[in-house]
Amino acid sequence: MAIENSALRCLIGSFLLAFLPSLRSSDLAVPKEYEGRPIEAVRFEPPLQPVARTDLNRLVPFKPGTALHQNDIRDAIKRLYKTGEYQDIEVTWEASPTGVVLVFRTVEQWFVGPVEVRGKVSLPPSEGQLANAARLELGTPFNDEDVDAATKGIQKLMQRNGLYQGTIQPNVERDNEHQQVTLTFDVKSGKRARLTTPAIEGDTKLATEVVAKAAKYKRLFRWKLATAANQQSGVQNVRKRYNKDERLTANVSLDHVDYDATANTVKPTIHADGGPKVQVKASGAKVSKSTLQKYVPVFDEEAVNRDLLVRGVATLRDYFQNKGYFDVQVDFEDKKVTPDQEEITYVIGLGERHKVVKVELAGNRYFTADQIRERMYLQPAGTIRLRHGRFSQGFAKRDEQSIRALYKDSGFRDCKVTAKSVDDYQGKSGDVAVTMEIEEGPQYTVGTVELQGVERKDRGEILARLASATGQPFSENNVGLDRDAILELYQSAGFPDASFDWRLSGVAERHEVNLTYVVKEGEPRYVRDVLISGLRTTRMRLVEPNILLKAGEPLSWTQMGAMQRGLYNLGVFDKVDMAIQNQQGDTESKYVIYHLTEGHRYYMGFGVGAEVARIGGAQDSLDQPAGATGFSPRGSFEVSRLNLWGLGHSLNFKSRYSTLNRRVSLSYLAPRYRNVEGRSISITALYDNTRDVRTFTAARYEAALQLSQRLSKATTALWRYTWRDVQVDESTLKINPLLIPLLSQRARIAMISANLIQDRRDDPVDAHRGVYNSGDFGVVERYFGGDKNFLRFLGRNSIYKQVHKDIVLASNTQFGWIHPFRISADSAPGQYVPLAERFYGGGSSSQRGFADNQAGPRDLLTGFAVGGNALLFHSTELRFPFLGDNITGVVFHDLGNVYSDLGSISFRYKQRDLQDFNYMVQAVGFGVRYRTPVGPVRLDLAYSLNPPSFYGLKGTYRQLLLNQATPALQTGKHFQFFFSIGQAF
Amino acid sequence: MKQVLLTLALCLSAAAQGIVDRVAVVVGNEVITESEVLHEVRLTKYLNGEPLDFSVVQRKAAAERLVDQQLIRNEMQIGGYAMPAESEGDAVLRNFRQQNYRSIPAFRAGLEKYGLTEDEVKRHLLWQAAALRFTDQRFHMTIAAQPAQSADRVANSDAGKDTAEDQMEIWLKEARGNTRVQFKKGAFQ
Repeated sequence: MAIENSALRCLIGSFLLAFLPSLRSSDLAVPKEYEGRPIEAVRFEPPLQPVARTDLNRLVPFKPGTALHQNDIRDAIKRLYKTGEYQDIEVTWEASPTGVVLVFRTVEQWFVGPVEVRGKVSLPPSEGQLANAARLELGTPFNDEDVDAATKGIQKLMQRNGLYQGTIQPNVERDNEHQQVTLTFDVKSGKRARLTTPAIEGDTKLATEVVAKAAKYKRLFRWKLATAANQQSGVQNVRKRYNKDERLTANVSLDHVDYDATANTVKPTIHADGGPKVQVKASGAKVSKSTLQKYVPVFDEEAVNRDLLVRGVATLRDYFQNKGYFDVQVDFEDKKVTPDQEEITYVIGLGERHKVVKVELAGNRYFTADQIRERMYLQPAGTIRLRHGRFSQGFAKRDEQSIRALYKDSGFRDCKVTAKSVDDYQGKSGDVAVTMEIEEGPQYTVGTVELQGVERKDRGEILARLASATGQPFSENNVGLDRDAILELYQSAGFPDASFDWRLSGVAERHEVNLTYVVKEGEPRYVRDVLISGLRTTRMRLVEPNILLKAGEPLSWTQMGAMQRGLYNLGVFDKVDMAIQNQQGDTESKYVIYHLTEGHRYYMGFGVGAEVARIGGAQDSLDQPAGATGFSPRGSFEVSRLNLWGLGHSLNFKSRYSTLNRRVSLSYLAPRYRNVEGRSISITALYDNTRDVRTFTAARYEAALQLSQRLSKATTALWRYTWRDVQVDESTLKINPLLIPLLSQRARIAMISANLIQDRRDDPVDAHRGVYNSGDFGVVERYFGGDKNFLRFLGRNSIYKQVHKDIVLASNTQFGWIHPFRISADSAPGQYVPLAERFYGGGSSSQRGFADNQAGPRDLLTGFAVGGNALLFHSTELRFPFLGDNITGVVFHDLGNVYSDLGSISFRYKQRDLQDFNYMVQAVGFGVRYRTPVGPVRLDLAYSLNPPSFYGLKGTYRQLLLNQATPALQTGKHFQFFFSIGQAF
Repeated sequence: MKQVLLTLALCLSAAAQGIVDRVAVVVGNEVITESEVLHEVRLTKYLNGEPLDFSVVQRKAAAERLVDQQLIRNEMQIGGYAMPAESEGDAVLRNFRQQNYRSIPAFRAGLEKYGLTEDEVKRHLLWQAAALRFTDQRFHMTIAAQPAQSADRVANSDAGKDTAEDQMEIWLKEARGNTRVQFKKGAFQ
């Protein structure tokens, strides 16, 4: 009976245990049911878990036989969730014969993968902007409701740009293996709405019609498209209208827009509060309106308040002090003239005009005056620039701070710097001398450096490489460098959570500080795999060499960055998005994701331009063989097919048409040939018809195969095979008619050449220091497929040296030599090399004493340039600041010439006779450069000291052929001018 | 009959199962489990001297409190705010006991009634002290650092609420806005 009773109790107990949860308000089982019972097994549902088995064992460490406690389960759930790999976790228990079985039921987390926008997208917004509007970040957790939010974000952006009729169709693809979703939004933009008359509200002060019209939403015939930019430009236009009305405090904003679906129009509502008229003027000194607008910030900030007016006082004071009025007094008066008009007057008392004659440094021992001056704004008066010097209280304060910072960086923690100015220096009225008085104080040095928390084997090496070392001057800057170096080391080694802190303890009497660096290494992280997406036409074999991370390797931010740079450098991707999937999650191994957005496959460009130089003169006139001022318009067209075959290759067609030159070319470029960085192969075919040497017009058909290899950052080598067919148009040859049959012969040139370029300039467009060397050596041989034999060498050396802060001394030397060989006995060596293959020189980038290509030997009858077999040019330039910050000046000296042959090179200054061209022409000159984003715009004026005189003819080309032209003595012009972009060399 | 009953008992016993715990609320990268919510209900009811009530409303309210606590805990961790020492907990618990119970057995009986342990109450009281200290340090400093404001601005903005508690409320609202907080339906049915 006892047994029966106990069985009954057991039955009732079991019944209650099984059904009790449903009687309670929570679904959780009563802990008494399972608490303390032995765990027989742990099961996961689904069995395949997103977390690696090793991680799972660490996070759910329940061994068979251990007692089950709810607290342990709670902690396990928290640990599992912290991995970031789960959306939901539930743990249940099931009774088993020997205890309980734990079941972990999990729902895995998805992560954002590639987000792409496809379809008919009319700009703006671009596909990229639409994808950004989805606000789905690569690698972050993804939830189903995010799709709606993303669609709404895209729709909002489209509507902001007037695309109300657009449709968006989101598609979600799930990659189960990597828990990643690919989101594609198929977008149809629809017809864009147009703007219509805006509604105006607020205290406008101006008539609402005037304000509405000021928005300029209507063009001459049609309303503007309702893009966000157009809507905002309307607001800006209204603001400008108020500014014109001197209502500087006008508050204008786009309140909202209303869309009319039937008319597909957008009616903006602009809120405009006009505010009073504010007139800003100056008294006591002449200040232009534009200067006031530049220096009084109320114009820029579109607000008038005391802070801005006070700032205006400071900036105007600096402005006048900079002009030499060091005692200037500036104040302002704010007056309400009428309820609708305010008047702000800057009252300026200029005082005497001064000149900074001296800026002296006193008390500096550790740093030299030059080292300190480099950092100073205060400047003594100069001859061309800063004629009164530069001084203002603001600049003096800044200089005090920067000098103090310089000293502090070297351990002078107590350094004091005071700027003191002396007026009427040495009794001369208006002269000011400024002395920066420096009290260096003691230099603090580093006593000890302790590195805590570093468990790496190379701890010693890290210590040795620290910028802060025992006995060295103490500097917080060095501590910063040490922090960066240590963190980079850890991040490169797969410790992304490494952190750095530092403490300082001082020994005041010894002026010594002890440093303690505390490093928290964090957990190591490894690469689970690298996921690449976005390759539509690009082949994986192009990308593969840039995948620097492999599964199982440390997760290094440094490598990830290098990989991103490498992918960008392929030149085929517009965007390379990089992320770590589930970055915050507590898992050892993580997916590294790269989503690549391929660039456009076609490029098309048009250009127009013109050349003004001594390139002119009538084509059939013999009167000015050295050139006359002329104008040559030009147009160009270019089309490229990029990323050909998905390998980053390109095919480029270029054409140029001008009165001097007609050219079409087709080139094929294969960069990174055989996946070697810096190696490329190109094949070019071109047709060129040029008359830039005024003596003749030549047509050229050319094909070239070139292999280039970057040997180092600065050095590049090129190997080239060139074949060309050159034909001089005999009807254009302005030379002795007897020579025309010989020099108009067709020539086929086949050349193998090698070129070495070494470029160590700091800025190729406008170098201040460095060296540029190039050497091009070619062999023209019949065996290579031509009909001529000669050697050709052209070398260049340019040196740039900064002789003072802003002054650069630059020199350029060019040497060239053509040496015919194996020529037949009946050929004259001097006439063997075809006219178009000879060296020509002179002009803006070689010898400014000549017009373009007018240096060297000339036809003895007509006086036209016929080129030579050797050249030597040397230019020296002194580049210096001239006017303001953007205009620099240049004085130069050019010497050199094109010579008949190597043996004729001479440094002789004087021309022997009218048939002698083998002497050294020299020119001096002056130029200005205006700095622009595309390089300096250049204007050079040269004076040739010894231009050549030579025989020539007066008449026409027809008269030359009929021997009717009149002989005339010609002299090269002394003055030459050049206008172009970029420095001379 | 005996055998039948025994077999039935064993079968039912073997079929016995239930949920041990599960995710109830997600707060950023952290979770609050359902057992924590129930525990919070117990603690609150115990400290307030109210009868136990595990209704959905009560559980939801407890979960909301736990979310706030988690946000504060995160901020304390980021800001490096120190937790009170363990020894302080003993003193706080002693004070609580002396103020609310006449004897230790009465105190223990109370705990048992609500399914709590002495240690759990101590930790909760310690946490309350830490949160109070955090509020004091974090928001009294903010108030002190605020410049004088015009009457208009104060009247028209949340800045007009200038007690530390008000500031805390504003901060919690902001923090919730910046953190993903998700209540799992299953835990609040």
